[in-house]
Amino acid sequence: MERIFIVEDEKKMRKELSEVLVKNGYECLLTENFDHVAEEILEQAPDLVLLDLNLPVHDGFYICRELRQHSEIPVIVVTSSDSDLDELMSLNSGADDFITKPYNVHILLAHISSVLHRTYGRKESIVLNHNGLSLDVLKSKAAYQGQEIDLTKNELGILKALMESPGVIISRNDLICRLWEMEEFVEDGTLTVNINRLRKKLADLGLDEYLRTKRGQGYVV
Amino acid sequence: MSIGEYVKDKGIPIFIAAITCFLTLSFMIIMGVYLPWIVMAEILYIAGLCLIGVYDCMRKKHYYDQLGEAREELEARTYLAEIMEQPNFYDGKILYDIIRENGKYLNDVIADQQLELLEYKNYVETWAHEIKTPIAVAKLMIENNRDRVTAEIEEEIRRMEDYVEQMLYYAKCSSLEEDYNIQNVSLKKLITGSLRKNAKMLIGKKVVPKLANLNFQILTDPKWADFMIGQILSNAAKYTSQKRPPQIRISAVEEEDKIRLQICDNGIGIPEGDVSRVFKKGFTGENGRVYQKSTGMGLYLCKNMCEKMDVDLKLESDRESGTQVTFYFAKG
Repeated sequence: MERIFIVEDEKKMRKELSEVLVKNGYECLLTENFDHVAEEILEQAPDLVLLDLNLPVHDGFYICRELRQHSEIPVIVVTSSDSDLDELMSLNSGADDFITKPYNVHILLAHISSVLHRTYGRKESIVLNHNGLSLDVLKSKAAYQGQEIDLTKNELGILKALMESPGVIISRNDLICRLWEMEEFVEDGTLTVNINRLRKKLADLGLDEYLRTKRGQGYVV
Repeated sequence: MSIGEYVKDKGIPIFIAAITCFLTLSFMIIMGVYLPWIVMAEILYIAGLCLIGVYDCMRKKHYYDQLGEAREELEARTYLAEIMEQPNFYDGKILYDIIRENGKYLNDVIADQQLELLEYKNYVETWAHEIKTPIAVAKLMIENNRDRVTAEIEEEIRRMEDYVEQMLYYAKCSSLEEDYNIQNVSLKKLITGSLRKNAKMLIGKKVVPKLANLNFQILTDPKWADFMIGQILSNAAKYTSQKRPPQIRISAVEEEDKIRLQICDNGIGIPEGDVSRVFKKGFTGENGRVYQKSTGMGLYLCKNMCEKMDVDLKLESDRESGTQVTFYFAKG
């Protein structure tokens, strides 16, 4: 499990952000003491640092430069200022990536996983499991009781979104949103087609009632 | 300074001179002065007056012509009082002192106003950045607690974000200094980015984007362009027509040294009488009144930003086919 160090002085933000990251399979390290952040990060040796720029004691640029003197640990700067200067200074201070608040959570997660991939190489597999069905995200394959099926990009996106929050109803609009984030700007009808195909494929695995429709609300696994 | 006008202005002194001339003439005739002497005296008298007039006229013409030229050349005309020379005639000196003092006062007032405006703008920008943290926290909380209520709150948060962004860009583009940074940008990336950013809103209104070939490079500030396209997309999502399934067609064509980007919707369109005024600040028109609350700022800001970046922006619309917005970006 990858460990992410969150440097953020806003308490609520820290709590909610770590909750999101934990939900998505990361371990979070937090700090409330901003006097020696760089030392603390180096001591904890996380896999990635999410760094706010506006901090008490030292600003994010300073911490980033401190870190770079001792370590090549990947840093993503997260800030509410969208000025080019901040972005430039962050990258010059040695940050690997830059994202502005308020961000879309999925976009943040995508940035995190892409920086992790770049630094530590592509992982062999990212596998989601729920009720006996396992979804290999990188290979775009779903498996149940030893049987495997190939999924198209859209089917993968739908199944991934549902399996990330099992038991939670996800609305059609949210699913379309997820598909837009991935690739084509599909329309409502396309989602219906993709859901039906996905259902059929799951039925082939013997999972008839796996993907359920909640009328007027959305879908759930 | 026009000599004709000067002479006209001296009507009364000339009249007085003519009367005294006539009176001395009559007096000398009555006194029985030898005629050639009378003529001689009158000629000398008139010549003297003319010389006084010519001297005064030339002196003033020289000064005022120079002042006029200096004013033409000056970029910041409020500084005229600082550079004007002191005239060498008395009434000019009085006026000169008054103008100098008044100019100083005006420049002080302007400087104060500019400082105040700058401070205000800085505050607005700081505020807009401050508000982003609570918005970000709220979004994360929604993400962590997904249900029907939070989904609706999310929509409201999205609207708040839009308003904040609009205000931020208003502050940016009404500022005195230039705040943009022209770069070579991929049009396709720009458009897909804007569509993704506005995905929730477009999907909520069931608007389907149809993209034609967008493989062009353009010269623009990516953030400004993203904001402008966002405004157009948001309008398209706001004013959809119930008569047809909503659609946005986005296409681009190369035209000499420009890239013509066209964003067409098939919404309710804009009434003919309103089309010419859509870029006016605060103009909401019939659509704004009838269909959806509107601030009348979106298109105004787009036009303003386009003018600053030297991009042509055109809008055509009718009730039948919808609205077409066209940007002419410089080719990258």
